[in-house]
Amino acid sequence: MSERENSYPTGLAAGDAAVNLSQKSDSTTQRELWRRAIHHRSFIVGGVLTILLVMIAIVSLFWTPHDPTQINIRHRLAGPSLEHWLGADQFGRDILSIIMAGAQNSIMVGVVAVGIGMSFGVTLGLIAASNRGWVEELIMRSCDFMYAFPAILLAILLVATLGSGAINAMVAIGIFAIPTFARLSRANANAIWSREFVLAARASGKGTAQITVEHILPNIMSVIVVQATIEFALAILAEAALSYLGIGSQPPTPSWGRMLSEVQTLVFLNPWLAVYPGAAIALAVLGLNLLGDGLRDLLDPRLVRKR
Amino acid sequence: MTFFLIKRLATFLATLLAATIVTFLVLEVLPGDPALVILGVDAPDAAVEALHEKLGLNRPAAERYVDWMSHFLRGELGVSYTYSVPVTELLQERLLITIPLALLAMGLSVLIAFSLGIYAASHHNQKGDVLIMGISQLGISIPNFWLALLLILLFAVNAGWFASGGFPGWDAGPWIALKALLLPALALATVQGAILARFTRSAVLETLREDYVRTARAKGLTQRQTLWRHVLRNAMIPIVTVMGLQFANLLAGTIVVENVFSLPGIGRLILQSISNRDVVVVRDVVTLLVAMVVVINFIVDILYAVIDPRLRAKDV
Amino acid sequence: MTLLTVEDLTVTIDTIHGPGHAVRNLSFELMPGNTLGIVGESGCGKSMTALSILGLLPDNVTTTGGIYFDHRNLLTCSDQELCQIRGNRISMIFQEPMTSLNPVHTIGQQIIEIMTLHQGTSKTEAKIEAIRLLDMVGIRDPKARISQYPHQLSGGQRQRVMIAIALSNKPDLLIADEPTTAVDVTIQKQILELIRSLVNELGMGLILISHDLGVISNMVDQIVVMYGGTAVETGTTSQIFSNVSHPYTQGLLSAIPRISGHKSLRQTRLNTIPGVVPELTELPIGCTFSDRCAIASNLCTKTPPPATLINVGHYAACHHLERAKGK
Repeated sequence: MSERENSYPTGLAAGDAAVNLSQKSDSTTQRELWRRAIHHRSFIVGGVLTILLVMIAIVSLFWTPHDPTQINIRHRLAGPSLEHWLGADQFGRDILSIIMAGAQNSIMVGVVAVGIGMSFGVTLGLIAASNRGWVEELIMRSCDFMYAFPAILLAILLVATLGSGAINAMVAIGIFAIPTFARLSRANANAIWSREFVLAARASGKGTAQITVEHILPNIMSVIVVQATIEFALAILAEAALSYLGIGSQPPTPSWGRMLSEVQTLVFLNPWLAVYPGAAIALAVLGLNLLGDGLRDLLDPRLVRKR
Repeated sequence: MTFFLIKRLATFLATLLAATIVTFLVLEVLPGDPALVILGVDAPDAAVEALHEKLGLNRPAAERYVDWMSHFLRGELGVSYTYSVPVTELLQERLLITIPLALLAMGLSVLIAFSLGIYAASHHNQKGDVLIMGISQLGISIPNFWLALLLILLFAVNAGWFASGGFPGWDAGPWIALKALLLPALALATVQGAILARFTRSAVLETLREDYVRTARAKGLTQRQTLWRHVLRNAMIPIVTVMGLQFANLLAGTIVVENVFSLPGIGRLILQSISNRDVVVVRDVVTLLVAMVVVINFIVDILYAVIDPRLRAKDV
Repeated sequence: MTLLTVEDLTVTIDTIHGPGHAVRNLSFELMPGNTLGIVGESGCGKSMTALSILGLLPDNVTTTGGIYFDHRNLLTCSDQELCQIRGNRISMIFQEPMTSLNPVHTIGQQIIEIMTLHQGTSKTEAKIEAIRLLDMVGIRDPKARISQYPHQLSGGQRQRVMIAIALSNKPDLLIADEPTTAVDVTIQKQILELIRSLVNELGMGLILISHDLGVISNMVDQIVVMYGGTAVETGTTSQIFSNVSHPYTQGLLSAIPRISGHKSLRQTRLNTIPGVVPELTELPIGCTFSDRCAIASNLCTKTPPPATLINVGHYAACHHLERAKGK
């Protein structure tokens, strides 16, 4: 016979049949999280692919089999060989080196675009959530408005206005990530604002800004992080499209998207030229998407509570 | 219901107006002198000035905006700098390629998405579901222009069933023309379809968890009957909203895919006009495209109210 | 000839932490036209029992035992066979009226649907019948309500509609899973009386599920008290109230607040049963109530108590009934 501390009157409920809200220590929760992460297919595959992408980009900063910009007409359109593992392009440049160096471009796009989108978007979303009223209306209507424009279209316009180039393309893509983050932050922040511990904080006299930073922001971070990985993937795709159209990264900077436009006319001579850069884009994006999916499953507060 | 409609209409018109203003402003900043484009870079200053006067480029921005808008709304879209042809003429030929392409792609995408998404949801966590999720994950990761290239490689170059690009014109017969649009539509539809399939699946799964689905089963309805009569209509509500947004992506996608297949559609026109600094064409075509997207979203909003009676009661 | 016989019903949930024993070796019998109540706290398995009768449990759940209705074991029936029974011979109403109706169909459509499904009535006939049913459950102006949507009705009205749907094919058995828990207190009594009068009128069997012993006592002839997935006490209502035997049932009864009556009986503090309901994956080996029971012994924690006969039809599962009586 034991008497626990909590006693409650019969007839009071606590969740559904298989659940009991248990109070575990932080370290147990973390260890459990890690255990689930290891077994989560999407997370592992996505994580591996993403790490691969980052590693290739970093390695290519210091070393590639050949100089990706070095032209070597003797080897033009060579097939795979010991010297050129993936063959050479129409100018004799080593395809493997270009692919490796192209990873740098992709990572940069992601970082810049997500950086811009997240910093401005989350800020706007948090402001909107904490100042209900006309400020919120204004911010949200502007975001809705941006959704009316096909992103690529205005990105094209913007780049045409500002001039072609990698950085401009990245900035334009970043600008289009802002409404997504703003909407997401606002929706989630609103949910947190009405939670009891926030009401308690307000009752104790804490200011809006302080509450936003101390309470709201940490609680929406998991959702933001998941969205960031997905936006990273979308940024890579968008930049690839812009480079393909010729208004993104310019020669001689290696870029997967531009590679595809360069080989378009040659694809009859050597189909593999088209496969490698496209596959590189697809794998990078796939890795990030899987990582985002995995993170979403692992960090979902509903699923965590069900344990 | 009427209040809801009026509110939606007001938002719709305001968005259109804002869109035209933004487009106008963005193009204001666009560097490059149209007069120089027409006359050539080495034209004498006096001629350039005279052309500025003639084209009205010296007037203040607000005045030019109002002038443009009043003509636009009457259907007078101005004359292209590059081709010296009315923009409406340019648009006519090109829209006849881009719009059928977009519609075909939308149709294919819906077909792919609904069949895969509903199947995956009703076989949740079984082999079929996992397979479809895997395939769709791949589908959303591939760039549509790469898929287009691969399709050309496989079906045009290797198999020879399709031409590798170009458009024979509607005069050559509807089936031949559609055949030319099939591969591009497929390239677009695969990516969009994959996105929509995942969304369909999650919308159906969410709906399957609702209490009224349990009620339907308790009434004695079979799984299939429950799915068709109770689940799908409710699941359609979020799906239809997404489809509206998808259309915007689809139009954007045509810009790129038309390039791969050398289709003389709106996409090609915009790209060429931007590099030609043909402000008139760019302004009008972009506005038109944006207007199409806004209209589609407006229709989606109305559809939303038709499907979900809860929206008709209050003003949302 | 019984209407429904539940024999040794065991429901196990497949969870990440291992099997969750929602229901273990539950047995009871219901005669035609009789009423039975299943009482217990949340998580004791009462809803699971109800859902298992109609085969509405999710896929990660295994059921063993027998649920005999109309010479058939419902647990071994195919989904097709069950579909013919649901809403037709056995109907069920649920706890949440606010979300149990499809928001995009009219009230009329939802009632007509179940009639055309099982009886093949024409739409026009069904419409007339639907209006009559709505009137029967106390909905005012039924002709107008037929074409309205669920969101235009209050919670109490929606629950009445659910009752109308459940009774439209004149089933032999109605299962009501906490039908008034999510409804305003003022409406609760009306809904319960409605259910009782309709059940009597149509001569149906009733299984009423609730966590509220007070509610149950007014409505049913037999009671099954459940705790931790097992029946701890079964008997007629009068038997249980006049001769309450199991320590848990005693706890339940004493927890009913008494604010009127003789001064000596009036309470100043609410009685509670100390302790918490154990997780279904961590149920004790012996008696499920042993860790909260005031008179539990070593035997209780090791061996599950058998159902001991107290009187005709009155059983309690306890090793120490004499000691319990003493209290």
